Amino acid sequence: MSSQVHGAQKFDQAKRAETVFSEDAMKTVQTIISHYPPEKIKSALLPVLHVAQAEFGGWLSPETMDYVASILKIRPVEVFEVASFYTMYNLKPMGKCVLEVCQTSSCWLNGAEDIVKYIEKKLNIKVGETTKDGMFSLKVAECLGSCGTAPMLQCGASYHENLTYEKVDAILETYKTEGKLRSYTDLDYKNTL
Amino acid sequence: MGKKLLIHNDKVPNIHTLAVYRANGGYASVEKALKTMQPDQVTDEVKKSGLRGRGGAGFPTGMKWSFLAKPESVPRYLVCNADESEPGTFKDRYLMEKIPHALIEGMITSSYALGAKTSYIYIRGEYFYVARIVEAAIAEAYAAGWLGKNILGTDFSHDCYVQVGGGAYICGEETALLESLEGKRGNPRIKPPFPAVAGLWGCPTVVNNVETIAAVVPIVNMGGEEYAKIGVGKSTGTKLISASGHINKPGVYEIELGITVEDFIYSDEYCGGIRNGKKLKAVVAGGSSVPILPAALALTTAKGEPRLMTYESLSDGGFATGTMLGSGGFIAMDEDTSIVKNLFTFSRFYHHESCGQCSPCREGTGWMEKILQKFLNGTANESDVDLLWDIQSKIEGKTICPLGEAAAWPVAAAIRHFKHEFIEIAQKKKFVDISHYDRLNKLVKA
Amino acid sequence: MKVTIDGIEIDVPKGTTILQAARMIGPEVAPPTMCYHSKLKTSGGYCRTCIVKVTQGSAANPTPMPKPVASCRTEVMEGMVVENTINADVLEARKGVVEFLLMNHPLDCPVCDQAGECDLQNLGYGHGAATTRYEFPRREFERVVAAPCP
Repeated sequence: MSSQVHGAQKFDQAKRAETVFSEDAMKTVQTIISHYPPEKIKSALLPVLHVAQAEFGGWLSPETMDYVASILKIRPVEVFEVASFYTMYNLKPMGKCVLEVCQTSSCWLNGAEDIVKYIEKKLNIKVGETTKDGMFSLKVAECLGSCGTAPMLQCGASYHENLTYEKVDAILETYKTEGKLRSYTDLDYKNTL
Repeated sequence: MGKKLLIHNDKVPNIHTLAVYRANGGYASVEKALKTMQPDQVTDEVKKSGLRGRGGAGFPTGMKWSFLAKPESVPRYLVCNADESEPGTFKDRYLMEKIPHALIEGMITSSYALGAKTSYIYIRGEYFYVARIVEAAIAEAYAAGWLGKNILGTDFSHDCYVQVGGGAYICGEETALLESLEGKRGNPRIKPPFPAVAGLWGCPTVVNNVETIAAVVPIVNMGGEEYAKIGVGKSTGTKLISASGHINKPGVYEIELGITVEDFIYSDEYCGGIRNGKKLKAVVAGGSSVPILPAALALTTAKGEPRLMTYESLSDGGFATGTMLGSGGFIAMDEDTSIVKNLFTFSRFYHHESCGQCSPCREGTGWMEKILQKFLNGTANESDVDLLWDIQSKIEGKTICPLGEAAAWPVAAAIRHFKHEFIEIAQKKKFVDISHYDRLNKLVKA
Repeated sequence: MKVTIDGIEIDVPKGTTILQAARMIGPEVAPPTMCYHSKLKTSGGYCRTCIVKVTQGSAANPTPMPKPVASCRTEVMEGMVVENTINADVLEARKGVVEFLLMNHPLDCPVCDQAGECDLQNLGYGHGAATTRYEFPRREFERVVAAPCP
């Protein structure tokens, strides 16, 4: 099993051995698992993957997926098929702050394209790329349920709404200063920037 | 002012806490149901209320509940569909963020009616912070004895959990949601069997939208008949409408079903008219899936009657001249908007969100997006309009789940009502984004 | 259970699918299939090739009819009336499905040297159009090595 190759990523046996949840993360995982009947713990897969992604560098490596499979007592391929289906799981390394700009109708009507262009210019990257310092990745996203406060971008758990160029500047500045990995499971998310 | 039943307290400070929610009359429906009513009586009240599913399909909730199979010694589940991802819709997010206890109260009362000992709230992954708010509220409810064993000293015990998704529109389809809840890819199941018979882990399950479950609270409190007096005809009660686009006051509004569309767009109580003094060009009345209507048909039906915000009035005239209330995602577009480009954003969305199971949707959605891209590139021909029409007709109704229709209807409606825009681009071999101006700078200046 | 397919009535046991019932009548009314295999229990339902129209449902079924359904996954009900080859809509819908299936196929069937040894090619000849209207580059996948070679 462990010699599998997931997509373009190679499986590293040594890295796999080091892949272990911290005590806090393990506690969270156990709580999630307790929400389901004992014989149905596969159900915990989606939320556990979010914890794993936050814990292991903002993406799901083959080693991480193998580890999650061992915790939930399922086959690694069952993890991979889920991780590759949903858009929130990254199958390759990303920047510390992944900026996801919504581009669907209401956001487009309110200038989402201009926001994307502005960020591209400011960070000197294109959509889908990561800055050289590994700080920011830029993605476009489909409707994030923020149509009334368009345009918007999401970074980790934070929703940044009613964007203007000035706001984008402030957001990038704040994240850059903090310099930490922003994940969907952040407890200190900020929606007020 | 119209009557408000769901978000009347949204401006009360700290209404997200149990103490404040309770002080404002919260959890009365749980007390009333558990202490004075049998489960079937609760279902009867919901039937009498005429409540229809608020997620988009508008199926009568009481009827859905009565389909639930109740075999002996098999657990039953209530699952709340909080995977709100229909473009233009953000009402559930508002409700859960502001008044999470309204949903939890509805979950308890509804579960009592259905005999469900466990329920799950499936929240879309992007709403992680909202899930935190709901989880905190659930913890408060457990601590105060509203959840857990022997609620209010009765025989009824109930557990309620939150699950977050992974970012997939398709999980708003109820069987895809159940697959996702089971830890799998969100591929819709082939029906039958329906979830009411074999749902979560093969057990009988009811899946309801957030707003539907929250509406059970006022129904139990005031009685189904009283609730049914609000609204018009078979569109009873109140509905949350998410208003966005080129309007002065975007946001979530609770309306009594039956106000006119014109009133909704132009009155200061609601959208407050079109921004920058522009004229209204088109309306998507119920989320991206429903047919787009030109302003004239949005405001008045083909018969010349004023269009009302009801299930019936909005669908008056069928798809030829009408649309649907859908999820209540109301997008208004001003005169500068390019319908073709807007349609492109929708088609790109459906292509992106197709689960890829069945061929018409997997292949057709991408094809339509590519053709629309040709229009934006200025390389489309007039025959491409007919091709688009033909493709959408071959997707509609031929797929496992309604995503096929959802992808086909906007294309059909845009061609039906705005064919001239497509033709014009094809003839000029050039697409000028008439809707494109630097909106952000304008906004900053304004 | 009595079911009528293309005007021919047949009595089949409960649990029979529309496709099985049609095959019992004969190949002339049986719809073609691609993703269905009779020996695989949960196969079928995805390619939509076997689509037929149920013009009249059963009194026991509240689903509004007429409705196109995948015949391989839909069980017959008492009194059901099904149309396949006699319904122009069904033939048109199937033509669409064949076009969708072949859209990203690496080769166009007429130039393929499988020459009659291919179910997909047969389906294309039998139920599709002569040429595709798809003009874009065909989808290609990155090669994934599922397991290392020994």
